[in-house]
Amino acid sequence: MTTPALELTDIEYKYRRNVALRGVSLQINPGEIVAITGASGCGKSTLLHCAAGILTPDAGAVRVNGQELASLSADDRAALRRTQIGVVLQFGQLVPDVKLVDNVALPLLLAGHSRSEAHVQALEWLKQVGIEGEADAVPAELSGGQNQRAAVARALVTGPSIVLADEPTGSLDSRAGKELLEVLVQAARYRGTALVMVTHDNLVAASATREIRLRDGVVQHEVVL
Amino acid sequence: MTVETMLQLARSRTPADRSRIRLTVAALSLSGAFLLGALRVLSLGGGTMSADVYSNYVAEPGLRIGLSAILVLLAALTAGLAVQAFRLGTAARERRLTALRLAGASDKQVRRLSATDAATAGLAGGLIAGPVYLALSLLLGALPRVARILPGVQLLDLAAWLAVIVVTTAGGVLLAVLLHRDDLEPRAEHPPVRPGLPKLVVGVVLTVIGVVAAPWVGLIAAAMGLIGVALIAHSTSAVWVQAVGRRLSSSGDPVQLLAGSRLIAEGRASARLGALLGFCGLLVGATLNAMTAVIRSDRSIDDLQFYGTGFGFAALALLLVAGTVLAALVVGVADQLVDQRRQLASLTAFGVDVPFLRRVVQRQLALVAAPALGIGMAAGMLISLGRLIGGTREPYDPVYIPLAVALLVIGGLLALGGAALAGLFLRNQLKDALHPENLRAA
Repeated sequence: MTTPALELTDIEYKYRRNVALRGVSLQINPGEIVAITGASGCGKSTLLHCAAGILTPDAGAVRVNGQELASLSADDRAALRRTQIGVVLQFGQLVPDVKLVDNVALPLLLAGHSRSEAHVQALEWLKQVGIEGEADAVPAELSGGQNQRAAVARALVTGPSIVLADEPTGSLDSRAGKELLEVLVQAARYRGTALVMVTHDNLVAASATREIRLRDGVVQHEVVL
Repeated sequence: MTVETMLQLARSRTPADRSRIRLTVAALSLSGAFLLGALRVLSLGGGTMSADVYSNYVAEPGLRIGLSAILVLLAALTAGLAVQAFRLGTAARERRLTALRLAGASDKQVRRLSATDAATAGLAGGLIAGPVYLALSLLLGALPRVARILPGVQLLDLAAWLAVIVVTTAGGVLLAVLLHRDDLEPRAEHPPVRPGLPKLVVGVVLTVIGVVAAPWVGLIAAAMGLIGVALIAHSTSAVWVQAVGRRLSSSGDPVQLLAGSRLIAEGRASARLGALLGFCGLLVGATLNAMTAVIRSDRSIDDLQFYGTGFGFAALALLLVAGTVLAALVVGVADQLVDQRRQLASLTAFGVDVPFLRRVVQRQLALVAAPALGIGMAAGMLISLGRLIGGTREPYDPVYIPLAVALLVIGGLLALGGAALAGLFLRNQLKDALHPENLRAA
């Protein structure tokens, strides 16, 4: 049996008195493209942040490629996130004063790769997402769509087994959003990476192979598309 | 727009804004207190006072002019810090002004709001200057006679206080007017820091003229020399910050990469504060040179006590100013952290944690502060106070060269210590900046 790329078991999380997740369980298999949908405040982003190890759940277990995050030290958890998980947010995730190529290379540099090696891979991914000509620009000089493409490249540059995207097209117009979605899905397929997208957008949800709908912090239903 | 609305809109609201105003008011109150001290000393006129009650610096009319010159210099340094402090948080302020313009405010109204903001800070600084001066003079009055370098407070000081309040308030308005163009004109995301070769040349020329002419022309030449040194410090600091930022931002080490890019982005503010720090270092170095000269001469214990007190106070006051400049640098970094909190929080996914970010911040601060303070102190020791303010015509004594090297190291180490401390002070801001909650922030 294949080990799931991501497995969440009975995840609970609350913000002070506000319960965001109430025992959510799900499995994402390698190469699968999953959309997590639901109304605002239903716990989608919290679920994604728990899955990425950015938030630590109050109860339940998160496993990435069979490794339980809670059993790892903080350093090992960070290393696992760096190498096996890619994250794309809605907007504003690139470091503003750093060139695009360095922004994309950053996860590799943080993992201890040499600058030249990191740049080769970063440029390859910038090419993959169609903005290799903007490698020396800083985020402020580019459009929202170009920045999001760079964010996709940054999420994939370490060769993660899973990419978690929180409203990746949320800040873009419909055309730029569609283009980004194509880039994201193609890039994930190119590497055989599992892709989990939190979204409100029906177009995004339609590009997935499975939709998981959340309501008030619990899984309301799952649909194979 | 009614006065009430104007005051309400001009009031600082964000934490970054409040830090900016607090630091500006603190710097202005110190500046005002030093100015009050200078005015009080000058108001004594040419008469001799009892050397049994006051320090010789106050009692002897010939020394008063030097004391008031030092107090004016300290007032100018702290006023410079107030200008810099007021310019902190530019990104947040620009966003606020843009929002106001989008809401329909005219340029004139925005200008009035900026002026009100600065005038309020100036007024508060001037008002606090009085109690600060009072506390300072009571404190010094309680010390042994040699340390009583401020004459006691008198009723006439109230008039001087009112004048200082007017000066600081008007200074605030003037500052707002001068900075207004920056606030209103759209500009590139990160305006390049220009090294300013003309400024450097003018600075070198003024310094040389000042140092050469000081023994004959006295304080005028000394003032020229000091302005020249300030210009050199400012222009070289800008070159240094830019060069280091560029070099680091092409590094393979992520700490250096981020520190370098932040230096380039905030190059202007860093260069200005680096220059102020360098200038303080220069005056501390020059004062230490004078202390060394006194210690090396065969003077009586009374003489040593007299000179030691004056130099000690001057060095202490300058170190206080240097510490406040470092605090302004720290506030600037805290500002950046707030401004980039979303981007920083998103880096947690790649394993960026508080110790990593602390290293970035410490590197950024140390790269500006360590060379500025070290080189400033070493240069001060080499130039000497005598040559800066006139009076020294003796040939150069090479004994000051190893002392300058020692000060270069000590200044650098002090700044590194300051940067390390800053990292500790900023621990909560660093933690906040990396908090996942920021991923939800717009």
